[in-house]
Formats: sequence, C-alpha cells, structure tokens
Amino acid sequence: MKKRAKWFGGVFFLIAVAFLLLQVGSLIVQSHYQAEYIDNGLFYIFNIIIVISLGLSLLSILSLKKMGNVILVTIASLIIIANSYLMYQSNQDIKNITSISPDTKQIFSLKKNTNTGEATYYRSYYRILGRPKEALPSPIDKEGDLMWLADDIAVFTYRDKQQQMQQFVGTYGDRKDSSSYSYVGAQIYGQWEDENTAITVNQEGITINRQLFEWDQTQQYGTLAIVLSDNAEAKWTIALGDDFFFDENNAEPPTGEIILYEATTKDTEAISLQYEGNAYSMIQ
Amino acid sequence: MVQKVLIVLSCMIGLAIIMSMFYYQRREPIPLPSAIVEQNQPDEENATTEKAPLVPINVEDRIGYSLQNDDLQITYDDGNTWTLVPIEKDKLFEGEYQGNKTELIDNSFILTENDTAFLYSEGVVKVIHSQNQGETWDETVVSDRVPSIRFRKVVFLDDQFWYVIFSADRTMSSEVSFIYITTNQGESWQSINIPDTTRLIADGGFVDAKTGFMSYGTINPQEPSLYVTNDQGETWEQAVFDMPSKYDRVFVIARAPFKEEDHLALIMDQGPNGDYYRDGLIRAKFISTDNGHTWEFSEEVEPENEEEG
Repeated sequence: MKKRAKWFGGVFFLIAVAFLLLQVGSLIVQSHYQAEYIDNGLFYIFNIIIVISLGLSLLSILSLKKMGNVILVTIASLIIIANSYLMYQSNQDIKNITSISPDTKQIFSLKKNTNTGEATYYRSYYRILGRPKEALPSPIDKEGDLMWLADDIAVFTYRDKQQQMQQFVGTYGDRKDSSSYSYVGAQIYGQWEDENTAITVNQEGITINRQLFEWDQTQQYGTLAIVLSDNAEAKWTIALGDDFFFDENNAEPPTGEIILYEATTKDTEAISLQYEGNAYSMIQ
Repeated sequence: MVQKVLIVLSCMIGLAIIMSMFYYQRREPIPLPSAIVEQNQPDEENATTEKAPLVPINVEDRIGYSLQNDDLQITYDDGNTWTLVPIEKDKLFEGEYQGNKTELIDNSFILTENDTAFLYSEGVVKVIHSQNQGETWDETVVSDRVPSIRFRKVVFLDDQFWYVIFSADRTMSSEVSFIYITTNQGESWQSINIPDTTRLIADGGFVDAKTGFMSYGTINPQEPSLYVTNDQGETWEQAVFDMPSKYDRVFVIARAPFKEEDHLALIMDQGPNGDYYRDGLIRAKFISTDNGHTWEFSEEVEPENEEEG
C-alpha cells in the first residue's frame, strides 16, 4: 500500500514538473516571438493542473501529520481559487472564442474585447500558442455560432454594432501543393444543387435561389471560402468541401461538394451541394 | 532526505507559479501585425517628395519620365528640361491596376527619340502620341468600349503599323482580350480577331504586320499557351513547343516573340509560382524557324543577359 502510494506520488510529481516546464517554456516563447496562449484561460488551467498534481504527489509521498496535511491543502486551495478567479476575471475583459477542428488539427481562436466588441483573430502555433493575425472587420455586438464547414474552414457568425449579420471565415492552409493564390469563385463556375437549393456561378456573380450576388459583393477568405454580402450584411458563406477538387488547367468540371452556410442567428445547418453542370455564359 | 528535497522543490514550484501569475497579469497585449507595420512607417516619404526636384525614371539614355507631383512629364536631356504630357496621371492607371503609381505600367507607353506615346483610359481607350518630343500631341481613340482594362500594351512596329493589345472585364480567371491595329498613325483603329479563348492574357505582339502572337495563362499555368496568326488575325493557331522534359511545368508563360537574325525567338518565364527551378530567376529562350508555329528550346537565359524584342 505504502509502496503504491509512493509510486502514484512520483507520477503526479512528474506531471506537475512536466506542466511547469510547458508553462515556463510557453511564457518564454511568448515573450520572444510576440505570441500568447491561443486561449488566455490555458495559463490558469495549467497552473491549476500543476498545483493539484503537486498536492496529490506530496500527500502520497510525505507522511505528514494532520496539521501538515491541512496546511498543504489550504495553500493548494488558495492558489487554485486565485487562478480560477483570475481566469474568470480575464474572460470578462477579453472573451476567448476558441474551437478545435473536427480532425483536431486546427484551432480557431478569436479574442474579443468585451467593452468595445472589437475582436482579433489568432493563428495557432503548436496547438497552445497563437499570434494575432487580423482584426475582425467590425466590432461584435452579439456572437452567433462557430461552425466548421470542413476540417480547415471555420465560420464565425455574429451581429455587429449596426445590427448587421456578419461572417468571418478562418481558413487553414492551401489544399493545393502550390503556394499560389487561387480564386474560389473561378473554381466553382457552374450550376450546383441539392434538393432545395440551387446556386449558379457565372460571369455576373453568384446566384443563390434567384438572388444574385455580384462579384463585388463577395469577399474571399484564404483560398477556400467566400462570404456573400448584400448591403454590407453577410448573407451566405460558400466553402469548398473537404473532397472538392478542381484543376484550373484543364476543362474537367470540379468534383466533390461545395458547402453553403447561411448567416443567421437562428439554428441553421450547412448545406452540401453537388455540381450539376456548366453555367458558363460567354461574353461577346 | 528525499522528502526534504521534495518539499524544497515543491516550494520552488509554488513560488514559480505565484510569480508567473503576477507576470501574466501585467503582460502587454500583442499588437496586430498591421499595427506593427504602421508604426514602422513614419510618413517621411510624403514630407520629402512634396517639392523635390523631378528625378527622371530613365527609359533610354537621357530619355525618361516622371510621375512626381501627380503629373506625367517627359525629358529628353536627363532631367534638365521637362515637357508636360497633357493627361491626368490617374488615367494612365485606370482599370485593374495594383501598384503605387510611381512608375508607368510596362508596355503601356513608348518613349524613344522619335516617338512618344501613352496608352490610357478615360471611359474609352485612347493613345496620345507625339513625333516631335512632346511639342505637339495627337490624341486618338482606340476603342470606344467602356471597359475596366487590365493587361495593356502599345507598340509602334514602324511608321506604318501600330498596335494596341488590352484585356478587359476580368472575372476571376477569364477575361476578354482585344487587338487594335492602325496603318495610318492612329487616324483610325481597327479591331482584329483574337484567339478563341477567355483565359487571362500574359503578353502579345506582332513581329510584322501579318504575324502576331497572343500568350495566355497568368493564373497557375502548367504549360505555355501561345497562339500565332500569319494573316493579321484572320486565323489563329496554337503554337507547338518542343519542351525538353526537364523543363516540363517549369517554363510556362511565353512572352511576345521577336525577330532575331533569320528566325523568331521568344523568352519564356516560369510563371507566378515559378520557384521550381533556380528560384524562378532563370528564363528560357525558344527559337522558331517556321514563322512561329513550332518552337525549339535554345538556351537558358540568366536574368541579366536577357534579350528583349
């Protein structure tokens, strides 16, 4: 029994040291490379893990008197409470909106200043660190859903201070091996359908259920998604599905699906559409 | 003994945590990358260029132009005297142009001892030219379409044959291109046929009044796409490249061919993502002995010894 307790104690002690090294290492990296935790709460969570592991380790290994145990537990509790409180506080000032992709390889991270509503989009590095990439175009009044349309495309829907719906898309990487920029709009030329929805993409723009969005009403994110707006209000996001493939250099139609996602605060599902044919309208 | 070490270590860890908490609470938020760029760009530039003397951007020896102070001015004596060209600067950049407007768009002008010409757009596409170094100007309307032009090129092949190539209405990766020619110094411009494609034009040109070329593919091309005509655009045919296999998918965008000795030659680029082969700096030279229909690889061209047509 005693031996087993010591063994547990050793393991917990190693866990505590491991997390301490992670914490200290991260803080050093952060100060050198203008980075911070992808979610500010991670710092406090790591601290709490360290304290709990260390406490359990000491309780298992040391044969303290009752008084000793009380002191140990009290100190540990104080540190845990302090960290929990600070974590709560920090999320009051800067609210973190963090989500892990379905394949767990990417992290979408937004940090929102709760006073102004201004939000910054973070790129993640090594899963736990992040660096600010860009500010959202308009401050957030009310947050909507965060939805992963593919393993590398996340859409954040929100209402801005002018009470307009907006969508912000985080895209992760370029699926093609080349580093060149490619246009989403050009790749999805044609007719796309599912049971209830039809999209036509041609020279004039993108038509969704008879509403035409001209090309200057579209904004591309990365090389994987575009947001369609009407009167400065986002209406839809169109993303390339995980299995979408198109070769710009031959005449073969694209294969796979594109995904349509509505900008709304109501519960909504992403719609997958299949290629149904050419909609190319020649000019001249 | 072990216990004491453990206690000391634990106390140190506890202290480290408490110290890190203080440190973490006091950290500064990280600025956005764009904010950093702004900080590093003091507006010195505006202050110094305001009334600076004109510095010619030389095209030939002693011949150059300046776009400073929002005017287009030309000089034939290395900047000692300047002649104002009667066009608003912005009209030279009308259409789809991303740049800082400090230099003219390549090929959109001619500036030589005998001929001066600028291609511009003000709703219609125009060429303004002078044959007396800017003393008098002639303005001619090339095309009265009202397009948003992207690619643009004007060339005076000789006194008789001038041509303008431009493209317009780009939608993602397709657009319409146009060729206009004149044989009466711009009194009347005439549109001629183009190859049957809406890909993005990369370059185009004539080597004589009959033989012309159009080269396509600026977004991610895999192989050169060059069309040739030998009858001033009546018919177009796709040129064939005998591409050594090691250059396959390396050299992908042909520039306009030019005459060289008894044959035609052209320079081929590696394209927008041409970093496969020696950093994308090397270009290839191809030669045609059948008036542009088939092309043989000739040599690699180092950037500095490039021959221009």
